[in-house]
Amino acid sequence: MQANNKARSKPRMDDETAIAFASHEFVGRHPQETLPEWLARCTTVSIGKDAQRRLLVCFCVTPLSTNSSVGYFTVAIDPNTAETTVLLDCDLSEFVGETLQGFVPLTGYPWATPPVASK
Amino acid sequence: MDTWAGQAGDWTWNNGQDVARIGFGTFDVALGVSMVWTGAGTLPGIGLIAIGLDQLATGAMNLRYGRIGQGFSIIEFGAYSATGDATLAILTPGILSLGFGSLGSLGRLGVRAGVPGVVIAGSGEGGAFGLLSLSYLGNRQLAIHRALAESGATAFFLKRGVSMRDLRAIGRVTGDEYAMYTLGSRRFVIRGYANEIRVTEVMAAALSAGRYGRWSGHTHPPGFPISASTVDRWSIPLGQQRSAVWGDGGFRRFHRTPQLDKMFDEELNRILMRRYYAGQQ
Repeated sequence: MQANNKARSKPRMDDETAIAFASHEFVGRHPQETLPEWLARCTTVSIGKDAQRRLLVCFCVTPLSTNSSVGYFTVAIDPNTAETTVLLDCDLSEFVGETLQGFVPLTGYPWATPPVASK
Repeated sequence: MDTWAGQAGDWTWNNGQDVARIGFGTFDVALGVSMVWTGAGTLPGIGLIAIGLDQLATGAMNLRYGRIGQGFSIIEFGAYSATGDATLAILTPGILSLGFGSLGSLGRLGVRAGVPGVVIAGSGEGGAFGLLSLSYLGNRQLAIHRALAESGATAFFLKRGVSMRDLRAIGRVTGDEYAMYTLGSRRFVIRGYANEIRVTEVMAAALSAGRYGRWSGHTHPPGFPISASTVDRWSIPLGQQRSAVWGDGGFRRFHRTPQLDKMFDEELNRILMRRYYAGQQ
């Protein structure tokens, strides 16, 4: 009974948290300063589950030409222990930002305030 | 009998103009209220209501107390003062009424055709897409689909009764966009018109002010890119920093400006991970 209660009190890992763990893993392998600035804006996330009930978080980009998403980083996350296993990690230099959906030159938004450089 | 008919004829001859004023005034007020209510045109609607009330009040006063001078209404008197032409003054309310009515009719035609005025989300240019059949939907999704049977439909659901994945699945069948707002334990869902979600001015203002809650997200139809459009970014309600768009290839979070779209924001990720571990202890 006690074990049941313990199991019930375990937090269920929601999608947002799974993405956070996946992003943490990704940034660990690809330091923030090496990431192209368009990457976050062009990235879509898809979430599924594998046979072991692990959450599969896939970071994808979608080329304008095909309108079909391509995964560049996939990680499996155990919802109980948050243990992560990287299943796919592509070389980001394969992708050209201008050819992807979501690529918007920041100058295209005159109403947007320019990013402030942190000291 | 002749006397009665003669009196009725005289009364009609003397008061017909004021009876007509009351009739047209009532029509203008009703049309104006309907235009404001449906969002077909707020300003033309208010204009029509003002003209209608002016005509109603003048007609009633003239019938009750008799005409003073030419029996002008306020608008007619204003027009007469400006132009000095009595005929033009009498025609002015009719001309204004026709103008406001025409403006409203344009909006009204849009509403009747299922296209209210304000776009709150859109997915821009899209490619061809193949829609799926109803058999693709589960029972729960079918129930949601029935509650939102037509483009432009809105419905409230329990929070656990609908998710963005459901809406995305339904969008694959209908080819329409869907937007979902969450307030407490309820969700408010709007079905769009193909690749746009359009609402009335009144509802757009309420959504923007957050009266329908947090904008949980919206879907883009199959075949359309899931880049957040400028109108998507502008439509994030007050007090909310980001929303998300679901489409081909998953979902994407977006903020008011592209600069703020941080998928790999370490600080945000740390907060979420800390919350998870805190729940583990």
